[in-house]
Amino acid sequence: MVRYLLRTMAFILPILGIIVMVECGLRAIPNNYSYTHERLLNHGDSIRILVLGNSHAFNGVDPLGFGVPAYNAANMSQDHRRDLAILEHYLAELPALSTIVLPLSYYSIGAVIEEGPEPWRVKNYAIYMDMPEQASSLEHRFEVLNARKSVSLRMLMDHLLYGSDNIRCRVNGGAPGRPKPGLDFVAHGKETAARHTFGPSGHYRINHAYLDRIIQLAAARGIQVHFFFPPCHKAYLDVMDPVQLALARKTGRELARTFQNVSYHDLSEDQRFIEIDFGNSDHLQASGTAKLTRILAEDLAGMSKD
Amino acid sequence: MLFNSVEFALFLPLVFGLFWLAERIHHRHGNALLLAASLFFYGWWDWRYLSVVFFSGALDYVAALRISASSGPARRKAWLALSLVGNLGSLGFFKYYDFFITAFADGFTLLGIPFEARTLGIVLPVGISFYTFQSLSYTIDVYRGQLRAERDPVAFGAYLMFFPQLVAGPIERGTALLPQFQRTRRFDYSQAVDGTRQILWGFFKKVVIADQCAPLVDQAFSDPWARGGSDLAFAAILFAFQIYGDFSGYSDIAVGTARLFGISLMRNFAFPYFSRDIAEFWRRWHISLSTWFRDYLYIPLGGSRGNLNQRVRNTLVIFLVSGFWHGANWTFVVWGALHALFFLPLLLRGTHREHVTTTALRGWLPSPADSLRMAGTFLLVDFAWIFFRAPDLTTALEFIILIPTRMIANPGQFLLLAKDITTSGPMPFVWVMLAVEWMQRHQQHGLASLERFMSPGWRWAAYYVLVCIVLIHTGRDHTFIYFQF
Repeated sequence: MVRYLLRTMAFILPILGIIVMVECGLRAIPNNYSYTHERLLNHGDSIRILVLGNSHAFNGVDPLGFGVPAYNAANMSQDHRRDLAILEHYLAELPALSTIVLPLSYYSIGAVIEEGPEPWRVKNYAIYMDMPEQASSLEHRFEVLNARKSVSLRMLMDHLLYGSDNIRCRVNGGAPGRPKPGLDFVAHGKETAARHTFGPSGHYRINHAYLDRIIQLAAARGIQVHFFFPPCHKAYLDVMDPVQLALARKTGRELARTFQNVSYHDLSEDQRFIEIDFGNSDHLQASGTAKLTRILAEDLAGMSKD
Repeated sequence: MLFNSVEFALFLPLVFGLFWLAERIHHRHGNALLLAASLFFYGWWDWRYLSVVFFSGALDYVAALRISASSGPARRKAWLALSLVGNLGSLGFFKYYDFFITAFADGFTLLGIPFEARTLGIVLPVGISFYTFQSLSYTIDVYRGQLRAERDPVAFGAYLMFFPQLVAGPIERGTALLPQFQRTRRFDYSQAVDGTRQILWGFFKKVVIADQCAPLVDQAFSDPWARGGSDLAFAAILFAFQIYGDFSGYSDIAVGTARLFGISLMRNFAFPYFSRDIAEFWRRWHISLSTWFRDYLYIPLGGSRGNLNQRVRNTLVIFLVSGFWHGANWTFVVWGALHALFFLPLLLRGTHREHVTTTALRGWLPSPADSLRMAGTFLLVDFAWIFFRAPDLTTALEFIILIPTRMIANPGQFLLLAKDITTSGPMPFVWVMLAVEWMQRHQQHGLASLERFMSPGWRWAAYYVLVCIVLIHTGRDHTFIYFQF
């Protein structure tokens, strides 16, 4: 028995050593999350507009276009639970915050990261944004326990060899969507709508509760919350489940009607967005981002006049 | 708790250490520890499932004791009947209720009688088919006088719920496994080392083969119309390796883990894709289930004795029941029927026991004739797997029709398929697995006899390479396919 234990330990220890080194190495690579953490923590004093939400906001809103200090803390697949967590975590660091901009869409009303295609992103909030309560399993606490190990190892090698980081956002957060030449929008729209359609398995109620909490937190500080339904390509919009689509729109309208500090703008069928504004059926590219940011800035300006 | 989870990586060493400490005091303490660990292991999914296992176990524990204590055949039969009704009733309720009620409704609707099916949408307790069969075999063996009823509820509970094989087998017999819970177990270094190797090989097959095949297979079966003929054919081939890697990988991990506790479980897979006919395939695939059906269904029905009609009937029954055991879906029934269809000619010609030894017993490579037989058997098995994997019969039939029609319409797809089979996706690892298992085909598992032709240094290097490959490929916890059964 002792021999077996000693030999097993001798075999496993080097592996554990390598695993620990890889974990430390991966954590040392700066990324969007650690960058956002650092920006909100150390440069949050002047921020007046905070953008939250998923990739529709991450790709679709350029904080520089607002003309006032703003930061885009949205991220890929970010759900409303994490929007709330970010707000709760950093609100004290944002004394000048006057407006929160947040997409409320067909996808966002039912989504949770854990059940989406990128559950590994949960660990980023726990590890890099100092929110350990966001982790609900061991996999959410360690880099090495997550999927995409080959990607992580390549990233680590690039970091060690060339000093490259994994920050893919602008100075003020967010990043423009990249167009894919030759993309079949019809097929993409169909596939995306299917992926974004939740049916009874969605998490509408809990997401609604998170939105309510965001609104309450904002109201307590006199902060305006501006929801928008992101622009959608026809190929995506036309194949959405009408019930879920109606529910998303109704939620936005009702929140705006119920709370004084809430406004809502449905841009899903806005004719100002044309074919070249879209990187794919549900994401904008540079021209679309500029257009959406301008529209949102006009919305906010209009509200401040009111 | 999944074998391929961090939780299990922490659970196993802890239970291993505690077990051998407890075993030093008395084997009953070891049993108690194993039972507690098994309850924790199973309850990790959903503690409410424990009530179903408890029901099945308590029923058979009492029934077996009563059968032992009863002198009259009528009372013995009554207790056996109660066990059968209770176990199969529980299995039927959880697994088949919705299926039958829907089938009844469809039948009535076809006859023009409106019938509203009220399905219950019951969540199937993990591994119910496995532990129900294990529990049933115990009572039947006691009834047949092949086994004494176990009085110690802890020993019986540890036998029934032994965590390595609780949720997906091997389906053990009381005659083989129960005595191992009635005596002190001794730690055997060579068994533990070989068990660890078997676990490693099991993880390789699960994580590197099965889990890497899964996304490509899922894509193809989710929308066959959107794929080319070569994609569909490749997906069908990949599924054969996915299900083999998944289930035999699980079995290797289960058997290897049991060996760490000084317990021998029966072999469940014997390199089935090296079979030269369907009969040999069934002697090598899911051995614990096929022998269960042989002993408790086929032989009581008359087996291969009797006239031609009886033999054909018995064969059809066993394959159809075997198909239905896998799930409440017509696809599994068709899968079983296909295997019966492939098997019957061998039975009728009396050649079903032609290949009972290992392929190429004394050589390195199979003869050309054996190679052709293996390839032919694989194609038949793979064809049937399409029904097994498809969500419904329509998809399976579409899949089968689309492969040839699309490939003939675009002959370039044949080249594409050849390229895919050679190098695409996880195929390089599949070839490695097949090569390793071919070299080890006389052994119990893929890494069984490495010490015979590798020095310790090379062996450790090989283990490190395997561990690294497995670690790099681990991702989200992919559940095991057979857990759903």
